[in-house]
Amino acid sequence: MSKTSQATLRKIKRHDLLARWVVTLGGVLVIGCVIGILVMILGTTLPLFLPARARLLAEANLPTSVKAEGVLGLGIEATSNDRWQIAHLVDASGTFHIVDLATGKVIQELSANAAEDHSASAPGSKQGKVAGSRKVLTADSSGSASFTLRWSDGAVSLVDVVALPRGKQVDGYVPRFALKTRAVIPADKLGVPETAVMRSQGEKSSACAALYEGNRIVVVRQNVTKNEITDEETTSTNRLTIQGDMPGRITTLAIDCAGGMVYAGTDKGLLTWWQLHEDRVISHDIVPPFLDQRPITSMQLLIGDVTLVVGDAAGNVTNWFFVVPKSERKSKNHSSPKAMEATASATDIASGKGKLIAATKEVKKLTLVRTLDSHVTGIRNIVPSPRNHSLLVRDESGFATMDYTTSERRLTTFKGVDQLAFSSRGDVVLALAGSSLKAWRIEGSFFGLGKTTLHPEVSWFALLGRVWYEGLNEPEFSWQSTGGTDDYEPKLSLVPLIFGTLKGTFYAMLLAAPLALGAAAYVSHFAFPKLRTWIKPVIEIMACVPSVVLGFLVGLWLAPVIKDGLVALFLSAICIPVLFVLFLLFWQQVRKSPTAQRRVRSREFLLAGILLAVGLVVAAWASTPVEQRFFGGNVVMWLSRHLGVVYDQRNSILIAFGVGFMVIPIIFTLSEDSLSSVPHSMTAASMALGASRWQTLWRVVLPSASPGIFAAVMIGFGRAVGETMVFLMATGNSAQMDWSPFNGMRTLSANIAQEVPEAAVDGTLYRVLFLCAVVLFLMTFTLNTLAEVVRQRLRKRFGQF
Amino acid sequence: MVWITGGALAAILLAALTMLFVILYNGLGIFWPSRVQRVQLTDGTGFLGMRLDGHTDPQHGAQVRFKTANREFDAQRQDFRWITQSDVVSAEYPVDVVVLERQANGDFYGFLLGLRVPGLELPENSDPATRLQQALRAIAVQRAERLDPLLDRISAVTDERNRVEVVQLKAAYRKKQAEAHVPPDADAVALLDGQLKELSAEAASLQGQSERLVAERTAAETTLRENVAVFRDGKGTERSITLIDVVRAFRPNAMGIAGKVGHYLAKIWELLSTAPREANTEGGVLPAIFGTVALILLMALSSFPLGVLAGVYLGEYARDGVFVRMVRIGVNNLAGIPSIVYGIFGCGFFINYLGWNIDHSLYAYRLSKGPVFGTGGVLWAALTLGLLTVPVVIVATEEAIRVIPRSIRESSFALGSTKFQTLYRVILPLASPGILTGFILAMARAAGEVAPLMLTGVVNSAATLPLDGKFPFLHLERQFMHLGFQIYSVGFQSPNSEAARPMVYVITLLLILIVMVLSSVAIYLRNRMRKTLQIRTL
Repeated sequence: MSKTSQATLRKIKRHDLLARWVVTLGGVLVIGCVIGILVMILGTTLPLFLPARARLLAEANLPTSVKAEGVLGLGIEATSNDRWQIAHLVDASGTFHIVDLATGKVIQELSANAAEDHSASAPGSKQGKVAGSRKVLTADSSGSASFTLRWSDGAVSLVDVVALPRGKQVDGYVPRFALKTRAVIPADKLGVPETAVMRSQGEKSSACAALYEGNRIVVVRQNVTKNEITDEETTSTNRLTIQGDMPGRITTLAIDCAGGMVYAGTDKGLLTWWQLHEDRVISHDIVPPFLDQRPITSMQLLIGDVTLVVGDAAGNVTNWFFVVPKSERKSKNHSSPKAMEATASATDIASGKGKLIAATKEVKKLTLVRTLDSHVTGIRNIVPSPRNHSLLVRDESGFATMDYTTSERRLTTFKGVDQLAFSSRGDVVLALAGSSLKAWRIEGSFFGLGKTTLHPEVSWFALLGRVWYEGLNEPEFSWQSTGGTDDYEPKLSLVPLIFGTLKGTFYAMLLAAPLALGAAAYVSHFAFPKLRTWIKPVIEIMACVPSVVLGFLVGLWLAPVIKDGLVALFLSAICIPVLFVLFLLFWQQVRKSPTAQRRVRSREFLLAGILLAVGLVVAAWASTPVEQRFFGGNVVMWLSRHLGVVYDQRNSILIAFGVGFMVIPIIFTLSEDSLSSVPHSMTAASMALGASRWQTLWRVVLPSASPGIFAAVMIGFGRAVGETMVFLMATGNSAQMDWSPFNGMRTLSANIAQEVPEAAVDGTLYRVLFLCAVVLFLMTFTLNTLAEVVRQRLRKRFGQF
Repeated sequence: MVWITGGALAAILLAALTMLFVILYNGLGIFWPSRVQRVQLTDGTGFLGMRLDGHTDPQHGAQVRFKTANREFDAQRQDFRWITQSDVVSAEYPVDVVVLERQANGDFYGFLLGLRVPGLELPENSDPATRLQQALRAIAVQRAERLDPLLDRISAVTDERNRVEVVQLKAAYRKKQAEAHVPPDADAVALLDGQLKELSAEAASLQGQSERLVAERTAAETTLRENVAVFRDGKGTERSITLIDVVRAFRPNAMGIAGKVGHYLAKIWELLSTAPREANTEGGVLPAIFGTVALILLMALSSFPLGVLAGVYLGEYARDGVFVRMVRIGVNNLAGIPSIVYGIFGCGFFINYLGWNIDHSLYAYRLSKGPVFGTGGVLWAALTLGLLTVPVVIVATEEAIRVIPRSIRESSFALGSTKFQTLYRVILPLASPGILTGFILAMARAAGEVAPLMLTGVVNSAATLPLDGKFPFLHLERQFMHLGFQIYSVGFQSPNSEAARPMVYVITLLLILIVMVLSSVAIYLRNRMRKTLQIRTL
């Protein structure tokens, strides 16, 4: 061989090898894509299900200036990047010790006594002026850095620890703090209150409930109003005394920020509430919560002031809020002929909070909503989170838990702690344990390997169970991811979305499957053979119609047509079969003539089409008189009045048409393929034995083609499940659970399309939406794999022919 | 039973025909200039309106909907009005009704009274209608002479300012880095300080220049705005309309067939060649067409090579085994994954992961100005669509290779060619129509997909196109408009959905035309390939 040809050969070989590598790489890349997509989506959802852990940020010994027994209350301020953690400790002299946990040193000492003196403009500067004259008895914190101080002289004050404006951020920087007295209730002639709670709303108003001897509760509400012209501030004080006349002694109190609701718990296990107006008690009730009359030891309101958390001596922690009892609801729904009114008032209840109790006539009852995992010994103290619905519960033995109420998740536990506090973001917990201070960050843990964000409001129970959210009258599956206010509880149940997806798909398949399969059977076995060659391209082009076009036509053009022609639609369901039967009776006579037989055979669909059109026209023509005669001229009104069925403009009938039209071509093409791949010898044999065309199809062709048809339906189903635009445009997107064909739905796909653009990246909603995508993926994956397996079997089976 | 199956086929065809008819009827008829009626009502009032559709209401009897236009003069700011048939005293078609298409506030119907054109020199002419057309032409000339050069200069100055701003940001970022350097790089800081000072002076001068130009433009526009046409509307009130706002004026009742056809064609040209007006409800769809085409081309670039490679691998190289079976199942499942899942993947991976990282490494200096790649853009949308269409290409390629008879392959080997030579010289040319079919089907699918785009960067109104004459010409990070999304946003999110409806039908027609042409070509090619291959094997 010559040298050149050697070189050429080498070149060719090199090319061959290169091509092999490149091509193989391409193949591997594709598989990588599939796995990559799945891994990425799953990876995004993973933090939802990771357990929480408490990571110790800092530990410091109690400064010598503060004696352990002298710490009455504590709070913490921490940055999200763990740069610093600062604890606030309140002692009996009313001094706030600001401690840097990194060094354990006291960096500031602020006196509440001084801060309270209004003449002292700069807090901390006139320390010790009045200090020593009175003592702080208790310092309870209901928010993060907000303390209710109960003084030995009978006064009650609400003091916030606020961080001063930030200086330059350099290493080793720690912020400075000041005390801000939000409100002061001066000493009362009744003496020193046994317990007191004080809350503030915004800058201007505060509410205080103080318990005096003999179950007497004094509620003081202060409101600062500013005169717009003179800039003068006037404080209006409203004082109201409530006599709690019930057996036992009141042990604990709770009041909402607005001062409209006061709750009390007694040592005989009774739960009492008063609803207050400006100068009087509007309503009042006593609820016996537990059969064994165990004493109630602790009570707190969660953020939003709707849920009351009650801790008792038996170690149980329960959640309560106001609910319209079932009996009340039923009577209202039944007696009212107008369904619309009932729903209107129901939405009022859902949107409003405590203040609406007076506005609606329904009597709401304080109801036990859920019981959290119990403690072994009695509950000492409950600390609600200032950010979400999680809470810290400490019992007699010093064992403390952190739970998230709505998702019923136990996040973490602490042992041997004496006092607990949340940071203002709710993500750092400070504990006083013996003589040491410990700060933990509560975060997600990647199996102990790394940290992730924590999503306490998500649990399998919250995603898939009936959750009793605030404002609902009973546990429900509900999806409502965003609300108007910060203290809104996102309702993240996937059940209505999965239900909506299945409902939409079901109605679509109800229309599409019979039509597509019938047409496929006709084209493959009854029609003249030429028809197949031109009907297949037509149907394939039909398959290419973009779903956004279908969504638009169905949502904007068909929706009013169906609404006006609802009667016609139902009439045509009668008209068309009747017409068919009549025609077939007539046909029995005509078919005897061989010319008619020859002319029509294999072209039946043309005649059938004419029949269909005629049926539709007849139905449309008859609909107006029928609607006038039977439905009072407006069938939509009639439906809601007599059957209680609400007709939505965007509903499942539209979906049946829209999505149905989309999947018909898919089912048709695939099932037609499998029907015509049945060997001709089989049909010929069947016909030769004297079977009719229909008998051949039903008994011979269908059994052999059934796996293929099954696969076709599965793939069509998969396509319908994943459809987005039609659902987005024609369902109304309300997450309701109702099989009625006149109602809309919210599907997984439309939900993703609507909410992802607004969801904060890596937030809870974002991850839950990815979870929706995983569910969709799994649904279609199952359907497609099923279809694929069946099809491969089919291929093997017919390989022999 | 045969009849029932036949009925099923008939029902499908009937539905398809109905759909086609609805789109064609509504989409084609919109640009046809209908005649305008003057309607007198029993209560003594009258109006000008285009008769649309009607329905029968049990309370009011027959009702007719009129498009009355003149939106800004209507109490409810409506374009449409329902009139009970029995209220109509008389309805006629006055010949001299003029319809104005305007930049804002939709159409205007009225009778021309006269022109007040201080700034225009018009040839003496007695016919007011001709004079109106002449005035419109003259004002267009004026606009081109006086306003457009100014606008060009303003945009040039703005571009320059944006460029300076980027340089400024870069310098500021470098200065910050130099300051943070241990020990601080004093020389660099001083140098950058000087640079920054120069830049801010430059920016200030550009700002002044731009303000001057804007003032000049406002002045020029004010002079042009003095040219008005005075009309009497259907209620008899005199209205003066600024000529510069008028896009087109015509007299539908005086038009012959030829005139109407001319008008129709002009409107279609306007649709295809201009940008939208009035929140996408009027004017053209050029940016949307442009966005759609750019998206499909980018998608093709990203997906076709990969798809063909994978298809060739599956068809030629892979030996049947567990791995290949897994690849096949993977491909089939990839084809079945809902498009919205691709969308959320694109959003999570491309935008929030890749884009974020690109921004933080390459564009760290301008993070304060908002994300560049860390938000939706045409590149991310195209890559997402590419992933979505890869399976289509793979399946088509594999199929096209598989149907080539063994004998052809074997004869090539027998002649001594290697596998790559066989593939390159024999198999691929034979399979090319099939692969092409796959490409076109993929493009058709990509053209019609909207859901994934909604998560990866489509917007209902983009100020700039992804491709323009400014460096670097192709702006992959820009958001874009899309025909399919236009249907959704104009049809469902438009504040004046009634007036927007015609536009949606037109866009629908356009989109369906594109998709159908693409898929018809694909189907034709495939059928032809099947035939040729059959002949060759014989």
